[in-house]
Order: sequence, then C-alpha cells, then structure tokens
Amino acid sequence: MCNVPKRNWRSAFQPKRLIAFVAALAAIGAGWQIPNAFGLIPMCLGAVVLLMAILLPAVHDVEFGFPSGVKLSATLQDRAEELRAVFEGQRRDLELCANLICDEPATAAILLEAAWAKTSADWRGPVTPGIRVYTLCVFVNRFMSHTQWVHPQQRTEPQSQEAVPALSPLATLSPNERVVVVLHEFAELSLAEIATLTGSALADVIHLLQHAEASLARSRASGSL
Amino acid sequence: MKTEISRELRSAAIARAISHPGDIERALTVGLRRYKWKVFAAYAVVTTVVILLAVVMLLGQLAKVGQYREVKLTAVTIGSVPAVLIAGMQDQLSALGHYSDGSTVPATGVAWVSGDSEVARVDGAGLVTAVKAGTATISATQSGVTGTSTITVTPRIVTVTGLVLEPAEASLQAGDTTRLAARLTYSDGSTAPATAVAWVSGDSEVARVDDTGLVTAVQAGTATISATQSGVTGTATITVTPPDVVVTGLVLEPAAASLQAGETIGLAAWLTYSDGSTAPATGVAWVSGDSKVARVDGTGLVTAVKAGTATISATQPGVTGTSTITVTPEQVIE
Repeated sequence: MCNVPKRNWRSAFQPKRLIAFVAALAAIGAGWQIPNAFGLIPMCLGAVVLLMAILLPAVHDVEFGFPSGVKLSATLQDRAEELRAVFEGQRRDLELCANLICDEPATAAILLEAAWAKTSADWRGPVTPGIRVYTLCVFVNRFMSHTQWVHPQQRTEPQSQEAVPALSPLATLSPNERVVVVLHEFAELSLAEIATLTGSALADVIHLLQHAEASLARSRASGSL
Repeated sequence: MKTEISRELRSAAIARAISHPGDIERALTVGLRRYKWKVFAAYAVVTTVVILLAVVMLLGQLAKVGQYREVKLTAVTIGSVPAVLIAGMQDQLSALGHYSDGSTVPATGVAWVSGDSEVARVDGAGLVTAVKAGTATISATQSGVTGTSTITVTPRIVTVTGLVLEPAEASLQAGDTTRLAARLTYSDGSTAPATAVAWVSGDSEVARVDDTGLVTAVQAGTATISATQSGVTGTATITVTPPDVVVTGLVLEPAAASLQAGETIGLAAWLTYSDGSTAPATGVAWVSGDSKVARVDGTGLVTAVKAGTATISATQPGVTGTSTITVTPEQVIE
C-alpha cells in the first residue's frame, strides 16, 4: 500500500479565509434578497471571492500541500528542483534495490523511472526523505505487475534454473520472497514497513523472509551459489 | 544473509545499475506533466462548480427580477362566502388577489357590488346583508379585475315565541264585562292576532270567560285568565271588586198611621241600599201633603190637626219616602 502524505485539512481553516468565506456568503445572500438587477453585483462579487480567496487557495493548500501564499507557478518550479535533488540523492540506493529485485537491468531502469514518474505525479506537500519509501513501494508494485504479465510462471513459484539464467542467487526465490529480502536486507526497511508497503500481513512477511533465507541457505549448501 | 553473499549481490547490482542508469529527467518530465494536469484539473473542477453554482443563482435572480417586473393581477376571488345566508343576517366577505408570479395576497381597494340589492346588499367594506330569499351575485373588483361569487339567501325562519293578552291586568266590578285580546309574538319580533285560542278561567266563581275572550266578573276576587294557542299560553289577571252600593230608596216607618186630631207620631226615615241594607236617613226634608190635616216638623214628628188624610214625604237627594197619615176626629170622652 503506497501512501502519500495525508491531506492537511487544518491548513484550510485560516482566520482570514474564514472571514472572507463569511463575507462572500453574506454578499451572495444579500444579492439574492435584492429583487432587481442590482442584486447580481454582490452575488458575482461573492462568487469571485469564494472562488479566488477561499476555494482555490484551499485546494492549493489541502490537495497539493503547497505552502500557503506562494504562487502556483513558483511552487511547481520549486517542486521540480526539490524532486530532482532528492531523486539524485536516492538514486544509488534505489537503483541498487531495483537491480536486486529485478534481474534485467534495462527492465529495472524502466520500472524505476516509472516509479519516479508516478512519485513526482502523486507526492503531496513538501518533498521529504519519506518519498524514498513511497518510490520503493511504487517500484515494487510495478515489478509485481511486470512479473505477472511478462513472466506469469513466476507469480508464486521460484524460477527454475533452466528457464532463467542464474544471474543472481535471488533468482531462485519467488518474486514476493525476493522483494521482502531486498527491502529488508538492502533497503533496510523494518518488517512492519515491508508489510505496510506490500499490503501483506506481518506474519506473512516473516514467513516469506524465513523461507527465502532457508532457500538461499540450501542453494549455498548445494553449491549453486 | 551472509555478508559475503550480500556484498556480491550488491556489487553485481551496482554494476548493472551503472550500466543501465535510470533517467531521472525523463521520469520527472513525465511525472510533473501528470502532476500539473492534476493541479489544473482540480482547479478546473472547483472553478467549474463555482461558476455553475453562480450561473444557477444568477439565472434564479434574473428570473426573480423578471417576475417582479411582469407581476400582474390575474384574478380576484371572493373568499369566506357562506353557502346560504338567512334573510336578515350579515356576513363579512373578503377578496384575494392572485398574481402572475403565483402569489396570493388579500385584495385592497376593492369595489363591492351586489347584482341584486333586493336579495342581498353589500357595502364598501364587503359586509353583505341578506335581505330576502333569492340569489344574488356579489362582485369584487380591483384594478379592473373582477371576481364574483353567488350568495343564496333563504327565508327567515319565524317561530312563535309567546302569546300576550291585552290587557294583561284588569279590574272589574262584579257583573261587569271586558274583552281580552290575544296576540301571538314571533321570533322576529312581530306580532299577530291569535285566532284559535282556547280560553280558560282559573277561577270561574270570580270571573268567567267565553270562547271569544269576553270576561264576566262574577264576584270579588282574583282570577287568572289563560289563553293557549300553538303550544304557547298567555295570561291576564282579572281582579273583581264588589259592585258600588247606592241608595235605592227611602222608607218611612210607619208607612201608614191613624191618629186622632191633636195626637202626634214620630216617623222614622230609612234609606235602602242596592245591596239590600238599610240605614237611618239623616238630613231628610219632611213635607206634609196637607198641613191642614197633619203637620210634620224637621224631625219627622207628625201632628194630626184635623180629620182627613195627609201624605207625609221625606226627601233626600234622589229618593223620597212617604207615609200616609189618617186623622180621625178627636174623640170627646164623656
């Protein structure tokens, strides 16, 4: 389950905005009571105030988590810079995990790019280090989807040695086991975080991890590693 | 996981990552384009909703303005019209004005007219008065728009409320008569002679009454005369007084006497009354019919003078009594 930061509804309720809201409603109500064409003036003014001073700023703050009072264009420009800096800083770590999870480097790169793109499209509010977990989550989802559609035989069963070249010891694991092992051993996520990220029960994550380690131990003992 | 294996896996993965690096710029381009679209879509949705609401309100306001401009009185109706009105009764009518905007308000400045004033009249305030049985159309007009309503007037229902005898009280002397008149009274205040009355005397020994209402006083006392018709009864009180006592005659005693000349006799005068009683008469004027035979003084003392017959009269106003005096010669006693 990939979760972006929650909406901060509280940021919508600012004193100035509440005053403007009351004033806009009063203007609309007053215009409604005036039984002639002059009633249209306060109604239009009230609607404009309601839109420009209340609703759009509220969307700006709540839905996208932008800093209050900053223009949209500047916010978007700053966001691109922030995302670029954070992604660059996390590139090595994420590319490592991607190539550990995915045997094919080209596929790993494509899936990681897709994760970055979705993250930059979905992330709400200021860019924080927590974006790493979200990017990993999106990558894992993409990988699982890719595995299901491109290599259906790998959905649950470990890859057979004949079908896939043994590029990595992890190739002997099922995709789920492989994801759990990489996220735990290399991404250094806790089991609880992995359970949340994969949408699995914690017991299942533990079981997958134990099974994966047992498989790796057997492979090592048999000399295939 | 063994550190050695972990290191091998890590170095292999890093090598693959270096050989196939991800393109952050491309990802950012795609992601930020989607993000901008989301922002635009959110703003567009909110703006569209507000604009639509504003348009709806504006249209409503324009419609309201139009209604105010074009509102017209379309009809006038008369409310609270009684189905039937009894002649003599009144009722307050009200008129309602119906306007083109669907509103209804009490009509003001209404001109009220009755189509038949002999059946029902209506004043300027809408107060209708039923006059007589029939049907009348009442019109209410405001600003050239007229509403009508039909009022049916039914006859007034008159009931007998009582019977009155005239006179209600009478005083009669025994033997006198009087005639009582009976009149019926009605719920509308009118009266009429009663024509089929049953007459009854409460005490026939005091007063009697016949079938025509003629009362005859019998003897002193009080009697109630009742007259009944159509379930109602009227009474009259008849007080009977005794008849007046009058002097009916004057009687002298003795009515005849024989005297010898020189003798005297005192006559007594008695008045007789109509009730049969008698009383000594006083103040009587005595007269002798032949003073040579017998004389009479003012006290009724008769003195025989010489032989013959004389009539002595005693008179009071209206009555006269007589006594015959025969005078015989004086006998000489030898």
